[in-house]
Amino acid sequence: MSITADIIRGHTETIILANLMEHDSYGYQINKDILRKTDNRYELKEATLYTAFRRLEQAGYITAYWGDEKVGARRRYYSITQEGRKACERGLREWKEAKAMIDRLLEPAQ
Amino acid sequence: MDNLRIRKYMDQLFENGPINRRTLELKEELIANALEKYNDLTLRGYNEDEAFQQVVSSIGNVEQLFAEMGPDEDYSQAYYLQWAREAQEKKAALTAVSAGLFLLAGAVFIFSLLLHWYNIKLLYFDGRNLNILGVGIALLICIVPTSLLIYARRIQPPAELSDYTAGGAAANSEIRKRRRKRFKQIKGSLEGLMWLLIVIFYFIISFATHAWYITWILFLGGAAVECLLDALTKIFFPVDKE
Repeated sequence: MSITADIIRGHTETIILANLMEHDSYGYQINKDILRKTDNRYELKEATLYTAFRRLEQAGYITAYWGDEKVGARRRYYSITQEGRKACERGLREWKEAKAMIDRLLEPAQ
Repeated sequence: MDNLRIRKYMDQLFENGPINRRTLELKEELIANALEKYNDLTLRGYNEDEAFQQVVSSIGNVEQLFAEMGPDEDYSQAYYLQWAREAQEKKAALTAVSAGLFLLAGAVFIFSLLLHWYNIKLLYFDGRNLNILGVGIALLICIVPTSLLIYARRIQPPAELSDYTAGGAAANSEIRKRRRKRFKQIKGSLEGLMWLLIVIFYFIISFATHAWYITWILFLGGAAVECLLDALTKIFFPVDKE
């Protein structure tokens, strides 16, 4: 599991971007989506999530805006930019290449 | 609703964080998400303690986040920028009012000259034409915008922000005291000039129109302007309370 977690952690930013490709979202919602998609097996630590948000924001891949919650604290929503979409596609392409390569390296030769 | 417990925890967590807008926003974001998670957990049947523990343990290490939040904001710089913006607006307003008053004075001046030249008896009293009074009134009006412009030119940042201006130094109240003194000097000489002009115009107009019974009103106008200048001094250059 720890190897899995390491691999996933290496793709945190692409995972977030992929999630935002569907619709604007906020921290807890994104984590819930990740939990659901991994059948409750994986969840990002909040600190990891928000570090990634800041980095993506600085790179211009996502933009943030505040929700207008009337009660309690406001949610900070994120929305993917055009640059972010490209970065997401790039990340996916890289992952597919890496996966194919690792498959070839690890599977026993015929 | 165990909101307070989570908020308190966040307060403690952020005690060591840098002081800036980004960190405050991060805190608000974390609180919003933590509260939502907490509510979800309690709805799913967790008791309050379990839910709280889950929320806290999912936050992880925020120290690494703080490192990315940048340095504390330099509030004196922020204040200076705010001051500069406000000062600019104040100067613009003062200049606009001054320009308006000069225009008014010009209009009054031209109007009264026209009345005089065409001998239109508008300000007509007891067989005498008082139109030339307008020239004096116009000059009196000019005193106010002149003072305003002199004041506008002298707007300077407070001494605690002097680092952000060219040559500013010295203690705060010292500068203010000096500025107040300077303003009073200017005010004094302006008032001297005003009274001189009033006396001159009083005689010119009175001899020209023989309207002695009404021309004394010029002095009332002068007194009004002096009161106004006093008020301006008190508003813009309050005495430091020690």
